[in-house]
Amino acid sequence: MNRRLIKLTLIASALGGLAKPTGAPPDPFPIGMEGSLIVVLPGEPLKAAPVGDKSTIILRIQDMFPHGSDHRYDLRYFGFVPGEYDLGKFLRHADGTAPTNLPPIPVRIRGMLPANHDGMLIEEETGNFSLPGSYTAWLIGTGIVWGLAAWPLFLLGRKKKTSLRQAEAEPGPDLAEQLRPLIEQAANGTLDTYGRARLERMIFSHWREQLGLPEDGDMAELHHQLKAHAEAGPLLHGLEDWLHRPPGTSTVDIPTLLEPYRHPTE
Amino acid sequence: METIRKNLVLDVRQRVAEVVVGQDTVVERLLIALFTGGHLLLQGVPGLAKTLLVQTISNAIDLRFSRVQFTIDLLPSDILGSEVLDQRNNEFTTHLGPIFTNLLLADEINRAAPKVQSALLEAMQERKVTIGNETHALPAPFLVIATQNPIEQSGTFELPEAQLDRFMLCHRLDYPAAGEEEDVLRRSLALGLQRTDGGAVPRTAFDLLEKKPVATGGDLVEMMAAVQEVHVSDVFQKHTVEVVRRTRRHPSIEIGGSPRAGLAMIQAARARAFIHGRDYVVPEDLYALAEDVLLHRVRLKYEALAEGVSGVSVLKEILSEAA
Repeated sequence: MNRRLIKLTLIASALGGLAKPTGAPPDPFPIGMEGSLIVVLPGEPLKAAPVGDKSTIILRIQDMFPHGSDHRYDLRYFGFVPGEYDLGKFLRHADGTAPTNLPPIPVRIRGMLPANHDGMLIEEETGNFSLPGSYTAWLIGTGIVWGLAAWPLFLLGRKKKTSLRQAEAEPGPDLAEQLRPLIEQAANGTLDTYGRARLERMIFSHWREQLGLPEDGDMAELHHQLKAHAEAGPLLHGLEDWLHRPPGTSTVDIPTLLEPYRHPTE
Repeated sequence: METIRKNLVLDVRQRVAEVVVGQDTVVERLLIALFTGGHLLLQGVPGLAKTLLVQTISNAIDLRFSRVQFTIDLLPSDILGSEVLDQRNNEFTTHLGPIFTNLLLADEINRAAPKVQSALLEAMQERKVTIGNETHALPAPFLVIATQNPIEQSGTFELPEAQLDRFMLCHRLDYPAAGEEEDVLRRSLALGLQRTDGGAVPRTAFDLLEKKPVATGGDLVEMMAAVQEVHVSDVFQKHTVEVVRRTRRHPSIEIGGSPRAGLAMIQAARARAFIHGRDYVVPEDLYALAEDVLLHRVRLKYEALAEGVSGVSVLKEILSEAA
């Protein structure tokens, strides 16, 4: 029931809209904006007039439906020149002739410029703010100020880098100093597995450093070279025996082996 | 007993040296793979005697040997086997594929489609194959030696990290030294012709393969058992863990070595120690094997690759820092 009521209301309002072309013209549309209008017109189906160079309005028919013996049109238009227009004058029969039996279909196009505008360009108002002196001088000045402000920041960063480098250069105890407590513990028999692994690696590094062997060389080859060295060889072989041989099979006397490193002569 | 084992290693090496010039490191890696039951990936350009080498070792130890050339149209059933309908009795019989061998040479493994690679690598891991409803255990020992060409990339399927991890070792073969290459040429000049059925074909190094083995499968098992007795100290384990963990922390490495890398290192080091006549491992074993055990298990970051950093240089840095 309600649905039927809504339908009737919509039809009534649509019919009300249809009366508009014959009554007051719709609200004006600004130049360049598309307006729409639904009208019922008598006679055969009509088409939009072709657009020429001097056309002040462009009309197109978005949709057309049979409406009893007439036709209902959904017209879309937009104008280029402000004023009142009769859209009926922009419609044509199928053969291109202008229809004569149409009611007026008034529309209004409004301009975006003031009504009393004389067609001259409007000069942009300049702000009150103006810089004393030339723009170039200001640019140079700003550059100098920026440079002066950035200089302390640059120095600050440099100082930090330098201190980091200093920290890297001063890592605390050197390899020999780091080795000493490990050697002491090894000689006393109190060195744990982790310490033993460190001791072996550090002694290898110590000798690699001593003999000036490359750090990026083949490690297996370096090991081989060091083990063949007259001074480093016995120590590395002794360490290997102590650290890697099956328990109870090593005959190395660790305190004696490490003695030269406990009390270095240099 | 110890003397016999040592002699066997020497005999195998001697037999290989009769046919293949140089390649001592590759022979050592092959023996490590054999003694530990691990799989080996050989990476190198064609023409470095990979196939000849594998076949020589297979003959020297009296092992069953199969070779499969991997291609794009290879199917998993071409390797694993399949059920075939016997029309005489209308029953399916199982046809076992070439994987049922002791030593399988998977030539150019990266040419096969991923499903074939995956089927092979699963069999490598589980050491058994299921065909139809039946599960078949692979022979023991079972070892896969795969090869891949690092240069040709078109029409290949790169093995993903997870599958590469199943290879205990990945050895990158290099060209022989000048002297060795001259020796290769000298030997080939002396090969001559082989006359058969009224015709003749030029002899190749494959014709020199001595069929009589210097060791049996039983000897190999004995050597495998001996490798398991090689002592691995706590200190060596610490060194191994330290190196593997450093691969995970290095700024140029995206994915570092897995715990399996550490396990592979220990096993390979044991075998290397055995081959060098020791009953305990030493850091030199770790450093000698690091490249073959670790390099295929790590992936460099994109930024590092863009800067031209190589895996070898990163590994050298890690080993140097760890020392």
